[in-house]
Amino acid sequence: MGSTDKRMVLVAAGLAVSAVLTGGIAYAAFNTTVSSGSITGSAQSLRPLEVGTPATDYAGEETGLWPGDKHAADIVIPVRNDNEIAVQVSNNSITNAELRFADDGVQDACGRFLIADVPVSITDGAEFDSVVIPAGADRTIRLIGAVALSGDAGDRCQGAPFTSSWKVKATTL
Amino acid sequence: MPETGPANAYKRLVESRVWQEQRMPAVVLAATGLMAIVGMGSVAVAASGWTTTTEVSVDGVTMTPSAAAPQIGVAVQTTIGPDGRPVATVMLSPVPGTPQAVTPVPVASISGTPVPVAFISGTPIVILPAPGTPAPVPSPVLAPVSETPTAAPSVSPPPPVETTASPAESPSPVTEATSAPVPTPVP
Repeated sequence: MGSTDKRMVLVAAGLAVSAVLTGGIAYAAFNTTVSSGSITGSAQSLRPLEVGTPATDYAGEETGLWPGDKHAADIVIPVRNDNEIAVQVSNNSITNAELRFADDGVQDACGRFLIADVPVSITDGAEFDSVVIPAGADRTIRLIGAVALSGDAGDRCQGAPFTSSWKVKATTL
Repeated sequence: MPETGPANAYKRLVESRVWQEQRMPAVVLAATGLMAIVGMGSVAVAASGWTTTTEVSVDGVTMTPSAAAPQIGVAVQTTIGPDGRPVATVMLSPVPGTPQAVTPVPVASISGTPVPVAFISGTPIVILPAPGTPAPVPSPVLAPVSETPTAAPSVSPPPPVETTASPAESPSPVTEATSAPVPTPVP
């Protein structure tokens, strides 16, 4: 070991001793603790989107569903994000919950001809995979061709009111 | 004694390069893997979030073809069908006053002539009698259909000329034929 190495060893030893002494002094000092008291907080709750007046928008000038895919109707859902943060709605997070005729007899005879397609969604005229709805903002979600009546539907299905239910899931960013 | 000198410097340089060539790929690979794990963690964090689901119910209706404008047909003939119901021959008139076709249809009642019958365009015209309604009789005003036996020819009155000429001497031809007396010789 050279002289330079010996000096380094001595310096390191000195530093170690200093550190130990300093810690001892600090340990020996008086201590006092002040409590801040209880500070409360809570997690926020994400509120569901508020829905305006939804509607079934039929093809062209039609005023009801006719048999056949080309007469499929859009579902229009105006929503408002009343949360204080932005949320996101994905296209695949919109699902059909129920689709049935109001009359049980018609439902038995025609229910299988009433079809809910996996929707392609647009908002503000543009298709979206996911759309961000800022805090307090409104958006109109349109599900393109979401409801249709099969071309095999019989006369019993004529003039029958029905209801479609949809679930729209919003997620925080 | 420390190993000094050009030879040893060259040896350390070679050893360093060997280490770089042999160990660096493994270090880079490990670092890459670590970054991937961290990245996946970031994605997982981004994908999470609170959710809320809103359920929306929307009303709709299917169309009724009869919602199209109904057309007016005019009964021009009537008779009794095989099921005992009256059958009217209806003149289809999508535009009033413009007959297009003549179609026999069962109807509920015939009360006059012509009888307006509303029907649905493009569908068979079947108007069933209301419950409890007695089977109607075809109006005699309407022209009877030739093939129906119910169009009784017996109701045809005799020719008015014959009636007014000489009632006493004008029995019906049938009467004449059956009652023509043969003069009985007087003994």
